[in-house]
Amino acid sequence: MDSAIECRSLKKILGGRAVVDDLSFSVESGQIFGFLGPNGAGKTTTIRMLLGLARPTSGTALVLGREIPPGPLILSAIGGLVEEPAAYPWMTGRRFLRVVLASGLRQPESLADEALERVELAGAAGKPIKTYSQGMRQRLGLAVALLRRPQLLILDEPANGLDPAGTKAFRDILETLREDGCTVFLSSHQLSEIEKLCDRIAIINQGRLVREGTLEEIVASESKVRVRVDPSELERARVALEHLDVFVDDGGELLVRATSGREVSEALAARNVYPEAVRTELSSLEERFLELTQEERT
Amino acid sequence: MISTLKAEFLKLVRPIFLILTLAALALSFFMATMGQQTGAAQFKTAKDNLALSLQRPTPCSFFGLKSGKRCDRARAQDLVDARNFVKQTIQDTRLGSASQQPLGAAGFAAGVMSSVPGAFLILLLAAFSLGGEWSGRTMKIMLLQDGRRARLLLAKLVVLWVASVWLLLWTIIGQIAYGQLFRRVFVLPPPPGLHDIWAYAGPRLLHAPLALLLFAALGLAMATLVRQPIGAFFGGALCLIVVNFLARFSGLHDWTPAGWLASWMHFKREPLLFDHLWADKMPSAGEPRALLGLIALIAALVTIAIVDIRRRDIQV
Repeated sequence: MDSAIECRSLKKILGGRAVVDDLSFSVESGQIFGFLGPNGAGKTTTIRMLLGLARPTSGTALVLGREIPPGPLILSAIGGLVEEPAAYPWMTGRRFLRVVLASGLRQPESLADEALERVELAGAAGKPIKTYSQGMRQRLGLAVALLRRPQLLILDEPANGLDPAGTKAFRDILETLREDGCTVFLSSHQLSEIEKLCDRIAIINQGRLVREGTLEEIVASESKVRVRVDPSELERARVALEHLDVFVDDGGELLVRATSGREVSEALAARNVYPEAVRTELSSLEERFLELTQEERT
Repeated sequence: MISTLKAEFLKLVRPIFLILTLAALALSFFMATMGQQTGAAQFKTAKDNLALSLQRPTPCSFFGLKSGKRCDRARAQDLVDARNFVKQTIQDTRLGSASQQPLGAAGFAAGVMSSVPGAFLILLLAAFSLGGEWSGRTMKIMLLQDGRRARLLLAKLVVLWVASVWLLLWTIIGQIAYGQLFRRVFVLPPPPGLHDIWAYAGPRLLHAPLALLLFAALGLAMATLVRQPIGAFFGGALCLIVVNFLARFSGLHDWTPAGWLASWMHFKREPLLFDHLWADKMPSAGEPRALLGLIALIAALVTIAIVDIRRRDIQV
C-alpha cells in the first residue's frame, strides 16, 4: 500500500523552541489516521507544514508522493481544514465556495453545490455567511475541504462546534470517503470520534511522536489487571507484585499495571498467593492518551 | 492566473468597496467645492472692486490726500490696480473654470485620485482586501487552493489597480456632474480654450494609471509586511506623509518619490484650485527621470511583498 503522507524527521523551531521535533510517521492510502496530542503538542504546526503553509526547519515530508510544500497539482487533490474555518462574512455560502474553487486549478462550479449538499448546507447556500451559526461555519469549512473531491483530507479539529447530529453526519461522511478510497488525516480532541473512526493513530507530545499504531495496539500495549484476594493476604500479594506498578484501590482490590493477567497470576503463584479473581481491564483511548502525554510531561 | 484573478474580483464585490467609491466622490466634491467657492468669491470681490472704482471715484481722504493732481494720480493707479486684480483673478481661476467643463473636470479628478486622497482610499482598499485576508484568517484557505504565493499577490495587485482605476472613473463621472452644478452655483470667468484645458487635463489623465499602480503597490507591500488591516493602512499613510515631508526640502525634492510623482503628474500649486494634495514644488527632474523612479519604486515594493510572503510562514 502506498503512503499518502510520509513524515521524515520533521522539525520546526519557533521562537527558539522545537515545536515539532524529529517527527516521523507514515499514513497509508485509504486509511483514516488519527493525529492526537494535547494543546501545544505541535499538531497544527505539523499540518501547516504538510499543507505548505509553514516550512520545516529540517526534515521533510512526502504528501501524495511529492515533497512538501505541495504545488498546485497536489493541492488540487488535497482538502485541508486548518484550525477554525474562516470565510468572507459578506458572501453567501455558495459564492464563497465558488471563490475558493476559482482560486485553484480550474474545476466546474457545480462542485460548490455538491459540497454544500454533502455537508447539509444546501438550504443556507444563498444566505450571507455572517448569519451562519458556529456549527454551520464549521460545516462550511468541511465543504471547502471536500470541494475538489480530494484524494487526501487533512483536517484539524473538524468537529469543533458540531452538535451530536452534525458530528454523526460528519462521521458518516468520513466513512463514505474511506469507502471511496480517500485518505483522511484527522487531528481531533474528540477521542471518542477517533476511537470510532480511525484505522491508525499517532500520539504526539511536545513535538515528538510518543506512540503510533492501531487503536488496539495503543490501548493494549499496557493494561490494568484487577486482582481480588482474601483481605488477610492483601499485603503478601502487594509485596509479590511489587516489581510491577501496583496500588490498592478503595474497594480493597489490587490494581496492577501489566501486559496480561497471566503475568500477574504467575507472580502471585510464585509467592504462594492465590487470588479469588483476576480481571484484565483494557484502557480506553482517553486513559492511554492521558497516561502517555503525562508520562512525557513528567 | 485568470481563475485567480476571477476569484479576486469576486472578493472585491463587497460593501467596503461601495463605501470607498462614495468616499472618493465625496472627497473630490469637497476639494472641488473649496476651490470653486474661493475662486468665485475672489472673482466677485475683484469685479465689485473694479465696478466700484469705475462708478464712484475713491474719496481723496481714503488716500490721505487733498483734492488735486496727486489725488487724481492715486485714483488712476487705484483703477489700474483694480483692473489688474481682475486680470490676475481671471488668470488664477482659469483652471477652476476649466474644471467646470467635462475635460477639465476629468483632469481635476485625476489629480485628486493621484494624490493623498486617492492614495489613502487605495491604501484602505489594500488594507481590507489583503490585510483582511490575515485578520479574517482566509489567507490559508486561498493558499491551500493553489499554493503559489507570488501569483496570489500579483493577482491582488492587478485587482487593486483595476479597483483604483474604477474609483478614478467614478470620480471623473462625479466631477463632470459636479461641474454642471458648479456652473450654476459658482460664477467664474469664461473657461480657457479646449487646447489649454487639454494641456492641463491630458497629462494628468494619461499619467494617473501609473500613480494609482504606485499606491496599489504600496498598499500591497504594507499589507503583506504588516499582515493586518489597520497597521497596513497606517503604515502606508505614514510612508506617504514622510515622503511628502521630505519633498519640502529643496535638496531632497528631486530624489524623493513625492518629487517623482509631482513631476509625473504635473502637480503645480494653483492659488485658487485644490486639485491635488501633494508636495507640489515642481522638481527640476523631468518626466523621464520621474517615470524611471516610479517604475523602480513599484518594482521594489512588489519585490519586497513577494519575498516576504514567500519566506514567512502563514500563521493564521
